[in-house]
Amino acid sequence: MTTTPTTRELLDQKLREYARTHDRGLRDEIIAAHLELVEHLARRFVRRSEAYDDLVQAGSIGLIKAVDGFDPDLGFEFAAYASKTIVGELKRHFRDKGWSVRAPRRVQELYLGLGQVVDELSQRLGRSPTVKELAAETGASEEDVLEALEAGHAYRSASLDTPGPEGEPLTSRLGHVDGAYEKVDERDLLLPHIEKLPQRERLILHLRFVEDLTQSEIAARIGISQMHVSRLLARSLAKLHDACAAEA
Amino acid sequence: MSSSRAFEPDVRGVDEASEHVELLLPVRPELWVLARMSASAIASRLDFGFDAVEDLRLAIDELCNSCAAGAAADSRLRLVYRWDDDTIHVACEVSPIGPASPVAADTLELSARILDALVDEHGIDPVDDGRRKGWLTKSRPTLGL
Repeated sequence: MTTTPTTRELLDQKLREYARTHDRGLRDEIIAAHLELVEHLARRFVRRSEAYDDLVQAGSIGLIKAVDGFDPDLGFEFAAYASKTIVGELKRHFRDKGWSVRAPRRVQELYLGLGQVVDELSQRLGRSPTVKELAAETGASEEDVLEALEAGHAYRSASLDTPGPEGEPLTSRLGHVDGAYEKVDERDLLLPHIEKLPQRERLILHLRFVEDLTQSEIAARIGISQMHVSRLLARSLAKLHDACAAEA
Repeated sequence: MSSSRAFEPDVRGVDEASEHVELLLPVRPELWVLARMSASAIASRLDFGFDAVEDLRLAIDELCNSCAAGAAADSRLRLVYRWDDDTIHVACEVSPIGPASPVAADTLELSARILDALVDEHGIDPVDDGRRKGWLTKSRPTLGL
């Protein structure tokens, strides 16, 4: 990422002000100005058969950590400092999902095709298909289908010990969160972390755990595949656990 | 894998003599994949639908996370899976384990709320004699959902 002296000075000013005030708006501005850096670094890892969007998301967590941890008085350039934390987060991403990364190509390919098959079968059968039915439809073994489902889940191995990600830059808030989360919300435990999730993940959490919709119903409601719902749910829950652990 | 300590899984309401599967793991979250795969393979044999299998996999993560909160580096997590015609029962035990820390308490509460939505029944017992036990049951929903 290239910056002119003017923008660099401006950035330095913002970083100093953020370090002093912890202003959320400034934080989001700094993050937005460096997303290009995250994308650049994420592209270096794409060859490892990982979804680019997932890498950008993991890298963004590193960027957020960099913004929050940067000390302008130490005299380092922010981009260099942030690059280190972003790459660190990308490596952690691969480490945490090591099992899935090593899934054989045939399993990865099966996973890529499975989402459409799940949706088509759900529509045809009027219910969620069984693994046997998915295997019959795809011509794969049940074991391969199970392995493919597992390979698609990138974010389930959240460590209990390592500091957790802080989620995404704030977007708009869910209008109403209650029900199953109410008890926890009263303790101010979860709500701040839920608010940091991307809007779609917050919506999916709400539909699954508050409105008690099935994953198929959520998929139909928001217009994405059932498997994508499942993956986002797993990722959101892992983030919440990470955030709880990091806070303590 | 083996353990020098007897394991008495809490599989409430299930015939102890029934067929079962046991799994013994180091307490490393990246190994929960083995616990999920075992559960989903059994659920698949019971003709659980995709939604139910996916909920069960999330629930297994929560069960393992809950039981492992506060575990030591050398702790072991043991899972016992039992099943009948349409229900899977999973018991989990982690030992050795210390008293719940504040972070463990938060993790347990979060997991309990999530499990409420994912399975039919579940429970995590307080730490006793250096062990924490937890369990869940999930039945095949009607209409194969």
